[in-house]
Amino acid sequence: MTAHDLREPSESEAADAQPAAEHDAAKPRADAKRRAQRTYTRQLLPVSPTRAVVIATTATMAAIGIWFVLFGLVLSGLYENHAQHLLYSQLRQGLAQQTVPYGGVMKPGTPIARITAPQIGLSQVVVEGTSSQELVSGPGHLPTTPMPGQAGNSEIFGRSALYGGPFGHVHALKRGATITVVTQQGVFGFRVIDVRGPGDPVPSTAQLGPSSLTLVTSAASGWRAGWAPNYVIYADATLVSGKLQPAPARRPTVVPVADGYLVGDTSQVVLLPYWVLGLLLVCGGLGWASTRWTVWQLWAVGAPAVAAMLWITTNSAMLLLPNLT
Amino acid sequence: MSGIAGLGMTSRRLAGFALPVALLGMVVATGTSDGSAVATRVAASPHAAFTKTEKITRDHLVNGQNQVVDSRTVSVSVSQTKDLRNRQDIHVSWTGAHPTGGIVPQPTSGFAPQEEYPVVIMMCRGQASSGKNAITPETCWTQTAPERVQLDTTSAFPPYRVDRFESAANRADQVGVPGRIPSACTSFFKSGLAQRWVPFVAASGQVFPIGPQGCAGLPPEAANLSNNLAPGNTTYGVTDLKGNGSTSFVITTAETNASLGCSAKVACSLVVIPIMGISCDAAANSLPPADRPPSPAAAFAECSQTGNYAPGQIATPSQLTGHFESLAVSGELWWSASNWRNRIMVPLTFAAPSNVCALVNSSTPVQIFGSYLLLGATQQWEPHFCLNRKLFSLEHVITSEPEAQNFLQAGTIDAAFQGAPPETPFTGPVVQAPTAVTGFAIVFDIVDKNGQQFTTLRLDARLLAKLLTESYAETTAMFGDKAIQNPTTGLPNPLNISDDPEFRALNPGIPTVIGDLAIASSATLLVQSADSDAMWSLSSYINSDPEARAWLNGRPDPWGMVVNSKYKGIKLPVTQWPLLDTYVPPTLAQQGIDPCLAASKIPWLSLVASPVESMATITLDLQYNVSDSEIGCNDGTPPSFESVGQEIPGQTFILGLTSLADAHQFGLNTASLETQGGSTSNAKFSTSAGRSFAAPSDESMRAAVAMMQPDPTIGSWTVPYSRMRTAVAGKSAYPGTMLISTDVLTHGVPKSLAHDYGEFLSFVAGAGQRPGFANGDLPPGYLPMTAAAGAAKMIAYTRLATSDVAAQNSKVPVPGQAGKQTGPGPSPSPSPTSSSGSGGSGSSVSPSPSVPRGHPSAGASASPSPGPLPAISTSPGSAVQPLQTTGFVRSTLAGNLLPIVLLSALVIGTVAFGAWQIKRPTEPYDGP
Repeated sequence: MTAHDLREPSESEAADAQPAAEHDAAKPRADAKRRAQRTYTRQLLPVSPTRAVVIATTATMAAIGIWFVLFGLVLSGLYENHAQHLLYSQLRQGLAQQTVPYGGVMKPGTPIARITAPQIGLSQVVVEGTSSQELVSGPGHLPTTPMPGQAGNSEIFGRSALYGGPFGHVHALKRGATITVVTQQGVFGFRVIDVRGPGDPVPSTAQLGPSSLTLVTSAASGWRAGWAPNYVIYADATLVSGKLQPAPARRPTVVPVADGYLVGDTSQVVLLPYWVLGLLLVCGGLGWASTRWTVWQLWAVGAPAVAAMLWITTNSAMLLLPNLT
Repeated sequence: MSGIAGLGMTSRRLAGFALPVALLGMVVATGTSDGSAVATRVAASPHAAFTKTEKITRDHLVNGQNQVVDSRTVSVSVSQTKDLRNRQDIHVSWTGAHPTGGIVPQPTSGFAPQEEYPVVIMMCRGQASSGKNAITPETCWTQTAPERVQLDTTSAFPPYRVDRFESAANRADQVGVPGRIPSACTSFFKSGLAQRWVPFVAASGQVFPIGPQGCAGLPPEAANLSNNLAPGNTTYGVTDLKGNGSTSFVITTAETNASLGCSAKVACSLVVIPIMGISCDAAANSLPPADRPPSPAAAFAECSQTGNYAPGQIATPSQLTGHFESLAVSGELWWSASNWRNRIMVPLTFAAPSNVCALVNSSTPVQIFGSYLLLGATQQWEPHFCLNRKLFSLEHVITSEPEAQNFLQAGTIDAAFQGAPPETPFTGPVVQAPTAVTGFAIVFDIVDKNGQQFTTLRLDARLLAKLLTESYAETTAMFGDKAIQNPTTGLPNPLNISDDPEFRALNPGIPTVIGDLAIASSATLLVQSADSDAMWSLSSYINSDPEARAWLNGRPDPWGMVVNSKYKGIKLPVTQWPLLDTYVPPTLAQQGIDPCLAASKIPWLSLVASPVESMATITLDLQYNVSDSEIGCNDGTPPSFESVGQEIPGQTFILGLTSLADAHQFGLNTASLETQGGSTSNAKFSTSAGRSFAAPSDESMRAAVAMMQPDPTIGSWTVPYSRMRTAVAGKSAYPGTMLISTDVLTHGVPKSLAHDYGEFLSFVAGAGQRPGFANGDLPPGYLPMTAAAGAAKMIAYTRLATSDVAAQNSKVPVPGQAGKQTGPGPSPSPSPTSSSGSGGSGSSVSPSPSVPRGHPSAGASASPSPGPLPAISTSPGSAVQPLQTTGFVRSTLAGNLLPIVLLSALVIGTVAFGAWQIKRPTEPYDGP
């Protein structure tokens, strides 16, 4: 330790600067300026308590914001993918045992159909219900409408950006494209009439025929396209193959507000404070542990706990976002 | 095991003779009746088809002396006894019976037999007093085991064992118990105590011993105890303090009760037993010593009881479970000889079952799609076609009328029944042949706590508008909804219709206090969720009433009630009533109060309204006092909304919209609708004076038919709703009258099918208009279209259409102009614009004004809108109809949240980085 090598250390910084200084001391003195610069950056680390709070707060907020966007656009897709995997096997089993419901009042979240549209690479299991809650695991069937293949117009909602955005390419459906739906009542082929957005004409009954299917999702133009949709679009298709099926009685006539078009689901909002609280508790616990555990212990215990709490909390918060996004 | 013995025999035989003679008289009377005679029956639905008066007594045998303790002259009337159908509701009323005590709310429930002095009404197989076809208690249907089994728990000589009219064999200690006691029943036997089992003999001959709690075997349709899901039809009717009473009785044929097995081939009767109590003979001197009570005085005291309840007293639940009633006068002993001898037997005949066509004919039926309103007629017409080898099998496929009309226009189907002419004329050659005159009915089910129904109700168009527009608050929790508050005074709207001064002014007799169960169902009108012409017709009627229209446009009623602002200025008519209110009461939507509402925020008033998918459900609900308002909550996981379910007497107040034919067939009460006389000054009123009302009847429908206008552009007759409010003739015309027509293409239908449609139309124009209940007849609820009914031109049209349809000559008769026809030819040249002005401002069916939905088909309907349709063969460019466009549903939250979050994160991140990086020199630094 040679104090004269250091040009501007304060007493408290001295300890920190020490290893670098020691290292540098072995080098030729010709590089003194560069050496001084390097030491200088390190010497800024200790900040005033106010600034430390500002840095910690802003950095955390930024991290949360980026996490939220990352979760919405990327990680939630993994969640949906996993849910689809489970739903698919559930539906397959149900179809084989002929236990999949196809009318009346169906339990929200039950897998009831499989929809494929090769033209846009769509292949998803459809669940009953259209609130944000149901649409996290895949496209959802609007309970007040008949099932695909039954007389009338069936509506299936799907997200276009979040949770994998299963309906993200619905806007690209071309007239004449084929949509195939498998329900307990059979396999039904639909031919796309057109995709319509605000102001476009609604197809006539003659075009729709006795049984039709409307895919409902959201879209946006310009820089929002693909990740921040802000209006509803529809793709109408008419039944071209498969026999018209009877619909069981007692279909619901009203649905919760959350099952509407582009609305969030506030039913789970009461739980959100608990998740946030849980997250804070985990963080607080880790803070307490940090003075007692080693870094590796902290990582081993803390990382999964924080990740899990963060995941649950974000998933819960995501439900507040409109259902079709 | 005959229930007839002793002194009752002679009078019974005489009655047996008199009864068929009386019935024969009735048959002749109704059989030869013409349209006008039936008209009176239609007008007054409880008009009796059977009446009988009989003197009945309760007389004990004391010391060898006859001691008459009660004597009454009972008169029973039954509304219909011929050509009955399964599930049909008939009306039974009586006078002169002993007032009932220990009244239970539901006269068909499991506790009902415990009433004292009820009038027991039941269906029994057989039609004679004796012989092979005799009616005995063993051939009478009861739903539950306790109605047929008595287990004595105290003395060995309960009242039924000292019944002086029972045979000696039936006064033994164990009667009806099979020789080998089934092992399940052994636990019910105690030595020294009496038992009486009344077995049931099924139509097949199989004997069901029943036994306590059904231990020895029940018929499959019966139950150990009653439950609401499968209510029995055995009715323990309540007699009021004056001796009068009435009830409705549900007929069950072999279609739902094969064990009883009543059908067109198996004769059955309605048996009415006014319970008088056991006539006692405690000394039992004629019997062997073992059957004589050791203490005749005690046995007589129990047997001669006259009731523990006061007449008219309502039984409490604890009284029912504790068997407070005196057995000797209760309904439980309906089978005892003392009561059985007082029975009045009403022979019944049944129509062909509804599935007869499916059984006789497997060929592909000729299908006609459309209106539910015609179901009553087609039920009787179909067997006429399928049972005749020369004809064909006809099938009426029920669909919503606008849907059927669209299918017809699109060429998907060839024929449809419609209840109102299309908005714009058909573009292809389609005849609209008048088929039947009927209408919608506003049916109501209001029952007081004694089980008595209110049978008259007056409604005006504004009250109907109030019910439909979700304008009644229903609960005080809804008082927070600004939409149903008077904007000037800030006062909330009434809770329900019984709370509305306008309703009270028109219906002074109806109680203003209604029970808890009825609160939701009295705040709404139960309607169909699907498109229907009945709703089109009802909303046209509302639209044409100046008072109702002004109210809908925002003028408060004289008492300050306002239209729900979400409906203000609503365009009528519509084929499907929209639900527009959005308020979710925050005081209810809490976990501890209503977990369902807390979980899913459904607007409260749409739960109250809860429209149902089919009109048949509305009919069923009104028949069984069921409220469909889904305001209940099943607190499971997840919590689910539940409908209120069956309402009990004193808490029954349900209003619904169904067909006139259903109202007749199922004995539903229909409301009279205001025709004219609303005030223009919007002044308060307290009576119905100055206003005229019309109940649905042949006369009032005839008056409406006379006012119908032929419209050559539309190709049919229209109901002139506005003129009916002003013209003198409109005063007595029922506003719910509708003309059902059969729409058939006259081009492109295969030849043999076209021939069949022609055959059907020719039947409609002739034999199909004969009133009656037999196959091929027109049931009540339909006005026969005859020249006498003022429908000569309509019949003439249908006759002309017959040949055009059969010939498929592309011609269409012009309504109101006999002989004139248009021949649009196979390539139609539509001019839909010409008609758009004639319907007036409200003529276009538009989706609800403020439903922010891009696709209006969110309801149950198949069609986005029953509105204009492009012609099938015209090119897209030439379509002149205004097209519906997709609405703009957007969300700024959805569009901006992620970008804003990302942007903020980046900005804040930059700040953090800056705060980290920014130079904080303690000493000046001179740079590199």
